[in-house]
Amino acid sequence: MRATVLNDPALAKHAGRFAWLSINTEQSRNAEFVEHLAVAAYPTFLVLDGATGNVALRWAGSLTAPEFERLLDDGERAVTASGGGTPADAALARADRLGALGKTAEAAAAYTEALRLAPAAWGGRGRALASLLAALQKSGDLEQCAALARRETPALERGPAFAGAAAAGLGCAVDAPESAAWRVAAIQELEALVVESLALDNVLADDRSSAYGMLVDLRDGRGDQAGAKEMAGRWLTFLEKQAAAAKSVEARAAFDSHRVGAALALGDPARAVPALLASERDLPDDYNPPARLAILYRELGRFDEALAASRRALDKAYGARKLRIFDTRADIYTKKGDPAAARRTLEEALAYADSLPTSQRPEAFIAQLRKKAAAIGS
Amino acid sequence: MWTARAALAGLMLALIAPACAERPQGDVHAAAARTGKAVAGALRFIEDDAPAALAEAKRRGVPIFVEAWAPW
Repeated sequence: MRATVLNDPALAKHAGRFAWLSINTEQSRNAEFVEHLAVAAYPTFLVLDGATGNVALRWAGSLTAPEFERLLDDGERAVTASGGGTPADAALARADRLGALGKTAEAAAAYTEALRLAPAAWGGRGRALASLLAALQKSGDLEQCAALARRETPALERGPAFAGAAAAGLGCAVDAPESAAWRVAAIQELEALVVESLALDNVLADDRSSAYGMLVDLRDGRGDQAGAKEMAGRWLTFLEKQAAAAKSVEARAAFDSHRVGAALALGDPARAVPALLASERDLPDDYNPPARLAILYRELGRFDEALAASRRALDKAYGARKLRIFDTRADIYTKKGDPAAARRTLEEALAYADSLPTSQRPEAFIAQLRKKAAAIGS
Repeated sequence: MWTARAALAGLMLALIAPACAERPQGDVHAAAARTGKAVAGALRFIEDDAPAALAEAKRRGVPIFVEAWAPW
């Protein structure tokens, strides 16, 4: 979004309404503040009360420019708790504040109330529905989440709110236990809506890309390998077209991680290599292109090139992400038939993990690294 | 969804780094910021300095808008 929406000159009229803060959550100097924000997904946008620093609204995910502008209005209402606007706006502000406090069930009830009070053309409908679906998902009420998405999504105008609701509902249905009687019908219905969203030009490309990825996983999960590959091919072609149309190097490179995922799902890692080489050339300070190249070369069996790429990435990387690069490097050594080097790499990773601030330590991943190192040693 | 959108991205990224799903992947548009270069946009973001943003918000009597991102 930084390379696209947040750079839109049309947003200049909002400049005086807020103090604007950008936080790289991987920087150790931000660790304490990031812990205060309780961020769990990227990007997350928050509105804080300027007098207290308390979170009044939290939104995880991307936004179109109109959605972003609406979020600014909602954020101000959540801070002041003034109830300004319509009754539905006031209910939404209450819900946002409850959500920011981690009171998920109460927030869900308030979002439901906002939707009940809302006139048909209410501008907050999309985000209220999205927030309600997210609250239901977070509280583990997957059946209600999927049911709400099935009920509300078909009538929505075809655009970002439609795409988001369909994807959220499908996510809830997929996550439900396979024994749930409602699961198969819900997946069938919501999957069709997600497929429909792929063709919507007014939905952000990264959201459409995520939808492609979900559909690939869904087909793969039910053993439809041919269907998964067909969808992966469509996904990669979509990303290549989007990247070709990007207006800057940064906007083009923003598709890199998805291109790697699509190429791997397609079983054709080589197809993403030229794009990553171009990104490494154009963004020489960025560790991501060589880190991703290491993965592609590893899958291609080009181990020396993979090790060289991972070394270039490690030399530039910082924060928790560095652990992933170590992990990839260890896998390269393992595949190359050098378990001793793999183990040394994992030990180096664990030593590095010990140096990270507590709030930046991905404990579950560190435990996996430890287990992997022990397995190599046995 | 948009929380779940992040989960979707996490599902996709599982293809790349299956062992590391605990920090969901999300923003594919952080590239400009992760270059470390100032971004010339309409909104002047304070970079990685929460105390400065809090002080500015208090001085101007406005709320704070935070973009929290990760460079992956």
